[in-house]
Amino acid sequence: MSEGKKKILIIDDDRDYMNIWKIVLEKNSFEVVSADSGEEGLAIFEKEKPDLIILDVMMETPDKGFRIGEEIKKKVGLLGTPIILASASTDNADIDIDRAMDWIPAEIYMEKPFTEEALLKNIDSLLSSKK
Amino acid sequence: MGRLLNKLRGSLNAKLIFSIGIALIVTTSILGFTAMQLQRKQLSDQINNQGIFVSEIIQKSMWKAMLQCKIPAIQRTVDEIAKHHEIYRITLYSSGGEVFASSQPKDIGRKANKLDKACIACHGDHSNPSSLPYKLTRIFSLNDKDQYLGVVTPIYNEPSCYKCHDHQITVLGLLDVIFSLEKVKKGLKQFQQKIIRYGIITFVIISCLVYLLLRYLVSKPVKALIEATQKIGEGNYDYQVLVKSQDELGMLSLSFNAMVKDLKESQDKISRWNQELEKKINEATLQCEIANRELRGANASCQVANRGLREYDKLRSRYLRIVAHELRAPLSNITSSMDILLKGYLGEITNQQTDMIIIAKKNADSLLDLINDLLNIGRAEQGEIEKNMREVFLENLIKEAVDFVSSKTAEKNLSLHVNISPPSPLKVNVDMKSTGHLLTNLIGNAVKYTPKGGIITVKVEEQADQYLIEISDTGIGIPEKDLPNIFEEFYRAGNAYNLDREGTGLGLSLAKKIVEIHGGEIGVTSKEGKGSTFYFSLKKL
Repeated sequence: MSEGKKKILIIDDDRDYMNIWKIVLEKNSFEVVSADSGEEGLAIFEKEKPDLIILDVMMETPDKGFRIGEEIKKKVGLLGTPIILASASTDNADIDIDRAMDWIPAEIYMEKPFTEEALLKNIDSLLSSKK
Repeated sequence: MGRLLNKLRGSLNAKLIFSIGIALIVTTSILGFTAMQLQRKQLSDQINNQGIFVSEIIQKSMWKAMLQCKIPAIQRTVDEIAKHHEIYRITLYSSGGEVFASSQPKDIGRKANKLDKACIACHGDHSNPSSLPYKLTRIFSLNDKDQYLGVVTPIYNEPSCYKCHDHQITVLGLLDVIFSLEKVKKGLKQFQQKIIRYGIITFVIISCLVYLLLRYLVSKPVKALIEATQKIGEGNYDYQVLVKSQDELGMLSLSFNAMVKDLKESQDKISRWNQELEKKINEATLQCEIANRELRGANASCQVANRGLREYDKLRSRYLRIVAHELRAPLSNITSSMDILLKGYLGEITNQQTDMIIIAKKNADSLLDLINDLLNIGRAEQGEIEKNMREVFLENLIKEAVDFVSSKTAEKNLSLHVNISPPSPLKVNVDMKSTGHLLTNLIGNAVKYTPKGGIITVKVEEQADQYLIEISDTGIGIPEKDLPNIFEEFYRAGNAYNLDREGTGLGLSLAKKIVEIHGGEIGVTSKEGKGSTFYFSLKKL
């Protein structure tokens, strides 16, 4: 079933958070690669070609997450890798969501903290719609 | 003419002169008329006497010729005398009424009739009984033009006449002399002209004199008075009217001067009062200004303090949110880690370990709830809720909240029913985050205070222009005395606190705030030991 395992890339500068979700997703039969910066994330994306990306919008500066998302979107091209935008609530969270949705349409936005059940459900729906 | 009348109306002098002029004209006219009448009377008396006198002389001159009965001689005398230009006619009548001598030859031999005025003098006018007899003179006019004086002289029977006439006859005849009054008339006319001439001269002289006198006695003092009033009107109260006469004008001046003196005293008094008043006003104004300056200073300080307070308030809200946000990330990592342990992803753990992790997780969850409350209070205070209202489907919000608590309901074996009666979509205009938090909070409370195996029902009903959302549980309920205060900040129902240390006392007050910001109402019905029903309304879009 190893060829059937879906690969998920987590890009987040909170290493603890990254590790927690790595364990959770691996326990739920996903292959997980992680990066703690946008640049690294891009590099891994090129190398690993993941099936889904969980991207922290608030990484370093609010814009950076978006920029990475945009870069990835460009690189992905017609591959159409789905992205889950994750973000802790901030003063401008709502505006951030709007901007994220503008740049990376048809993706899912999730506000931290989220539950395992919610994340798995979103991953399932994105991956099944991709098929 | 109009200008003259205007001047008459406008000037006292002109009025006086006009009145006096009229009086003078009337007086002069009356005097002239009287003088004329007197002159006429005197002249007519004089001419009467003269006529009688001349007539007697004429009679006397003819006396001798009459005694000798020389009629032609009488005629000649008559003719001679009648040549005088002042004599118009001489007629001699016999006692039988026959004209026996006349200066007009055609009259000779004519019988006198009733119309002869000479007869009327003695015998009266039979056509006019009131006319007096024996009036020897008469004045009459011929052709309505020239005036004449007729003088009748009876020729009486005297002893020297007895030779020819019976001595019993009294009057033998009549001499009628008619004088022309042309000369008298001329004289009167001349007199009249003289009177008019002198009258006019007198009038002019008197007028001039009156004018000068009036000018001196009335005009000048009146002008002085007018000038004085003008000077006083300009504020020169030391001015005195110099009219020394003893008349009314003098008295007027005196009382005027007295009045000015009084006026000056009053004016002085008023100006003294004014000065005092001004001084007092100035003092008061100064005090006002000082007070004002102090007030302005205080106001400025107040404004500074206010600005500081506002900034502080803003900072406080911001600080609250930042702290809450920074707390949440590590806390969610803690809870997530504990979830991993509890789920056995990292291997089996003992029952005691499980219990300890559950305790840790429960407390961490309480902290997360508190942080979420604080974050939403900050959002409400900073107006983020109003700013972020948008069209949302209510059923999705409810579903998310139910999903959020699903793991806990499962843990406590609670059955959670969602009963949405109106057809989808249920459009509402809300701030997603706060409304989501509100629903999570209320449903979470129900989960928290409902014992294992209980039932929680989320129900949505349509009411006119709003949706009514009800969250009922079969939990511990709220004591009746606590119900009125349940939505107050930091208020906690007594039993809730004692039974369970979860909850901050902020959740329900925040819920009320959120509902009210959305224009809805929130309420609760509860029975201790049986359960509670929280309900709130949201406007339909």
